[in-house]
Amino acid sequence: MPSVLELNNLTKRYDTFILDSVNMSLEEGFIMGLVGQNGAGKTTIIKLILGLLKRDNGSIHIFGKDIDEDADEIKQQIGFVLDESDWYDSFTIREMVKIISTFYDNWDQTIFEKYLKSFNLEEASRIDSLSKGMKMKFSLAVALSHDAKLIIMDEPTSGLDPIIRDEVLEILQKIIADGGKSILFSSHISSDIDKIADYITFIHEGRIIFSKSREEIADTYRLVTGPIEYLDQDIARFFDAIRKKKRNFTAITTDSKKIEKEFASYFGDKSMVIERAGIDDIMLHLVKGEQYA
Amino acid sequence: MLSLVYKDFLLQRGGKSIIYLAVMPIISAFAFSTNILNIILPYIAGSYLYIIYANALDDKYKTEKIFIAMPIGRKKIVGAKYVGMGLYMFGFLIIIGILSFFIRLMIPGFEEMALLSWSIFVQFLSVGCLYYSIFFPLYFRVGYQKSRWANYIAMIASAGLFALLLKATSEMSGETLSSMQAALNYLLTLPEGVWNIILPLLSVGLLYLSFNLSVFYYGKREF
Repeated sequence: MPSVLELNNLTKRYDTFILDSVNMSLEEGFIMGLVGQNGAGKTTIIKLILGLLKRDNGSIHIFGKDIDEDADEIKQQIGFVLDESDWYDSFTIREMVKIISTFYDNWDQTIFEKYLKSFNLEEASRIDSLSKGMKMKFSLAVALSHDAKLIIMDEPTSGLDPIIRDEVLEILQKIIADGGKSILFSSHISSDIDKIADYITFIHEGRIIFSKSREEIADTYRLVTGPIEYLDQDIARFFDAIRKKKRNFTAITTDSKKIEKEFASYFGDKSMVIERAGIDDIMLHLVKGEQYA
Repeated sequence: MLSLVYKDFLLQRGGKSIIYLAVMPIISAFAFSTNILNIILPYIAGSYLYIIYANALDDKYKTEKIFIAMPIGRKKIVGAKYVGMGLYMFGFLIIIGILSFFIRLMIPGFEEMALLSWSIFVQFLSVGCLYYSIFFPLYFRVGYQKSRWANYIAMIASAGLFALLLKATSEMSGETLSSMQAALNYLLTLPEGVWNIILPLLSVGLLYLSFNLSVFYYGKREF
């Protein structure tokens, strides 16, 4: 399967933050969720891809082409939704689109109108009369109306109520089901990522912790819970990250079989429990827990 | 690129600047008969309002990010701002030109009113080019918030250039400052219309340098 997006050693340095040698690849027809805390580097990656920031090192290939060689041609096939930007309040949807549509060779007004209809938006509506959810839908309609093969979205569900959030996620799933498109979207809401992403890239303090398929994550990571008195140096070294509480501890491991084998007696009386780790569990432990690995 | 020019024009509807931009050329056309300053200064003030309003809204909604992420190219985004101001200048002159023609023709007492000439166009061009040449590179380098002061400086500098130009030419012609027409007449008497050829060339050259500087700075800007 060809890579739609490929990042190699992508690096961006600021005085107080470094996006450090990010490697990531998104195949055609899949959704990649970029998850991490606020300030982890998700938006920096998206801005680098869209040319809003200049990278210090590494390369970005989209549809197999180097972004530096023909950015405008590549951008013709990218639809995007940015978290920080907005549309002009005093414009109507029609006026805004009249301007935007001229930048895209493959702009399809019929498809745009179809999306507006399905999102219950009126062309004559002024932007300032739209709710945050409606603005998000308008941005999505714009992103989807020029035959984009790659949709990039920065925190598309941030600040939306649960119902609209669910609607947006459903729209993204439908886009993928229709075929021929890939989506990269960032979120600090791990449940959104968990819900629709085929691949999950977890970024923390500018570094990729993992970039794996959802199945691989489900197979790899385990959450171990046990009484705090069991936790000593011998057992701690088998965990990637540990969170200690008053009476017990929870830990994330990628080597649950070894733990089960080495400490079988601990599990015999069911004092320690091993279960599949959710994205929230993994994030929480890797970000907030004590690191041993 | 013209879509971006159109966008800046549409943005003017949102504030009082559209009223100013529509009314001032008309008032200026009536005032034109007495002093060329009556049209140059409103033009400078109009340019200031036009720029400040469009750029402030770009900044407020952070739409520069949207346009840069689109397949436009930063050079075209820069070009659109320059073209927009060029069109504003021509629009201002055309309105004054047409109105002053009809005022002279139809309203008693305005028969001796001046008509637009190459000299007046040259002065508009010089003042406008100086204004935009100072302001835009700073704007594209540091953005709206940090370049607001530059807009004041550019406005004052261009108005100052015009005053100096008038002072110099009127003194050369032996006339007083109030006799602007005499100054303009003197300019026309210079050998081979030196002012009217060199000044536009210098102005356009300055604008060209400014444009390239703006493209250079904007190419490096991060959002």
